[in-house]
Amino acid sequence: MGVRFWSVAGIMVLAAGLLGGFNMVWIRHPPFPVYGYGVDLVAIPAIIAGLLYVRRIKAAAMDEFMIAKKRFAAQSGFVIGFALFAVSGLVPLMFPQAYHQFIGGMDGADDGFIIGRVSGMAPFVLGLVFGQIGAWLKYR
Amino acid sequence: MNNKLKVLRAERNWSQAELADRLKVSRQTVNAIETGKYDPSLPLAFAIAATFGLTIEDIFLPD
Repeated sequence: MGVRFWSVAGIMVLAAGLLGGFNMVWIRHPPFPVYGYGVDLVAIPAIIAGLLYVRRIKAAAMDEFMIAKKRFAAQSGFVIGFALFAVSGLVPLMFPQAYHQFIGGMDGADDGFIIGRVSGMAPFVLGLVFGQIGAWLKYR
Repeated sequence: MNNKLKVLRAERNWSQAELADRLKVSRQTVNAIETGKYDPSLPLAFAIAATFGLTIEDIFLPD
């Protein structure tokens, strides 16, 4: 992947982060400012167009081996993620005391909901990381 | 699958990058094929054979 890809991808990620940050501030001060709607109206399509452009640069730079490598990483990553997810279900059975202590320490259902979302997603995120490492080890 | 890519490339004094340019693939692809970590698709195998002026069977050998 070339310098252009990383430059444009970096700018797009920073722009998306910045826009997300601004929206987080605006949403805390109702009513949502009119100029906020204006900025979102211009910036969101621009960011989407930018991300599609990044995707096009990436696709142009990928040959069949790169695609095979990426596919291997994604497939193995998902399988590893699912295995980690299954294993994480054993934690309450193997460590009931620690589990109940953890549940008891939470501040109500809102906390439980957020932690449930994060801990449900975490094995798959880890799986994707392990998938990338696996692909790198296999084809290095 | 075994192949003679490295030998054929050396005979012509081509670098991996040079061969990759001729085949319109990445240098990593050429390296992965040479080291036997990746088997090319049929179109790429034909392109490799055409580049060296040989047949696929002349370059790629079954295990």
